[in-house]
Amino acid sequence: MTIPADRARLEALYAEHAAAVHAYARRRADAATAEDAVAETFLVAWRRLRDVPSADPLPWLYATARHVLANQRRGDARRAALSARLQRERPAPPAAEPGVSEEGAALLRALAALRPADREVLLLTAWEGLEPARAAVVLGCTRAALHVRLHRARRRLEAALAPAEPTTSVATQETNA
Amino acid sequence: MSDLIDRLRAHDPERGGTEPPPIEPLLERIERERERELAAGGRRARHRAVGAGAPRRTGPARAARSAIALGLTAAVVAVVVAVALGGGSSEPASPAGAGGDPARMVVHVRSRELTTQPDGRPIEAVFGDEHGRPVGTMDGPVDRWSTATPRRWRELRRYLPSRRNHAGGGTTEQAYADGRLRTRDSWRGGTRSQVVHPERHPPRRYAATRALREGTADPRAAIEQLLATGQLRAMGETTTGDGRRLLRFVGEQPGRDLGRRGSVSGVRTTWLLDAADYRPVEVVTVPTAPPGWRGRGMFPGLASRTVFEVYETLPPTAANLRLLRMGGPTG
Repeated sequence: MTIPADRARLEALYAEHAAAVHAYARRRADAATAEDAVAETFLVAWRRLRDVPSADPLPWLYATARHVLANQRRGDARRAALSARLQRERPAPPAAEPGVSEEGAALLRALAALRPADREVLLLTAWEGLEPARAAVVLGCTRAALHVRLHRARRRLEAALAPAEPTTSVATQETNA
Repeated sequence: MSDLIDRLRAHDPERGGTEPPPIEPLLERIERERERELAAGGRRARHRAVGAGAPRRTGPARAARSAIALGLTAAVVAVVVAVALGGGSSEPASPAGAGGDPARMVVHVRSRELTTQPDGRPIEAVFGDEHGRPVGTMDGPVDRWSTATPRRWRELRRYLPSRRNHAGGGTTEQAYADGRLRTRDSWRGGTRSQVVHPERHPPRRYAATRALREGTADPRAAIEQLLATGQLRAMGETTTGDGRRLLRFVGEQPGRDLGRRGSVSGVRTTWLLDAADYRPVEVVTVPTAPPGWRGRGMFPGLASRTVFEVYETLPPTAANLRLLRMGGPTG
């Protein structure tokens, strides 16, 4: 394919899917990181345009964004560890963000308490709205394995939601400022 | 779908949709990348021959990027002396009698990084390991050795014990040479090694990262760029309590308003250089409020103060070049 044709395809991909990829990243990272992740994801797409499936590129883009975010997190691990440490020394933030119901806050807390793999399979299904076959592409597993993972993740989320006892731990939300 | 999934959907924080960043910066980046490839004679093919499907995890490239930026920062600080204050000369200041090609000199910097509240009150910043367990305080000495040609550096970072935080202390050693970054932490065994590709590093706001990405081993390019683009400016002199004259340079990176996506804070960097020999003395970075911030009083970001205890340029002898190797001598 020629460079102009490649470029036209990339622009079409961006126009169609950038919002979804940005939403994916924004659900998992702060605003600046999400912006970076979108740029990185489409840069990878540009470099590997021949690998991007023509029929359904979104799961491929999600998978790339997932890896980009994972790499970013790994790179930022030291700073995050420090931040977490410093966070502990600050006064506790309010129990819930404004505009988030008590039920929502409890759900988000339970979600945050899950293993990342469990959380991801749930979010791909619920927030990204992917069917199991497409979510399996994102996670690099078979559809059958995806079903098993989803089933287990749901059970764990239900278990995390079950004890309604008050807790002092508060899910920290990343802020943009 | 199940009730649980429906409940999750109802609490999707982005269910109202998001506004993605504009495509123009990405297209500019692609164009620059293509120009570099053409300039390099197409040595690097854009498409790799891999199977279809989602790409594999790219490995710790981002971590490498941060680490290299960190390592090069020391060299950047060292070189700003010459470029900014060398009376118009672009040659770095070197000790009398050192002689030789400046790019091949081994620059050794020892510094301490202190974290403070915006008002200057110190904080005992503690470094945590990959599991979040405290290792030690971050105000320990950091030694960095680097050469511009060939591009190599090594960093030895010491975390000090803290009884208050139940931390026993530790070290992290990193060395970069020939496209490979090696890392060794005292609290876990073995040395991790990863291949890094400077040419793939995306443009960042940080001069050191930009220098790496532009494919130059000489951080002078980054400093020259900072000066040429007006990102660093002279702000006069100050005098310490013991009568030492220091030159002050300030660089400011404003915060950004991301519209519906919020905003990011800016950063003000102040460089203090010894007026007698232009060696770096101190670098202070303070976060600044993003546009539209309506908080009261001081912006609540943490500041960092890097104090330079040693700055020296060593000739590239076999003994000094060993300082650049993983596990090499420590001075």
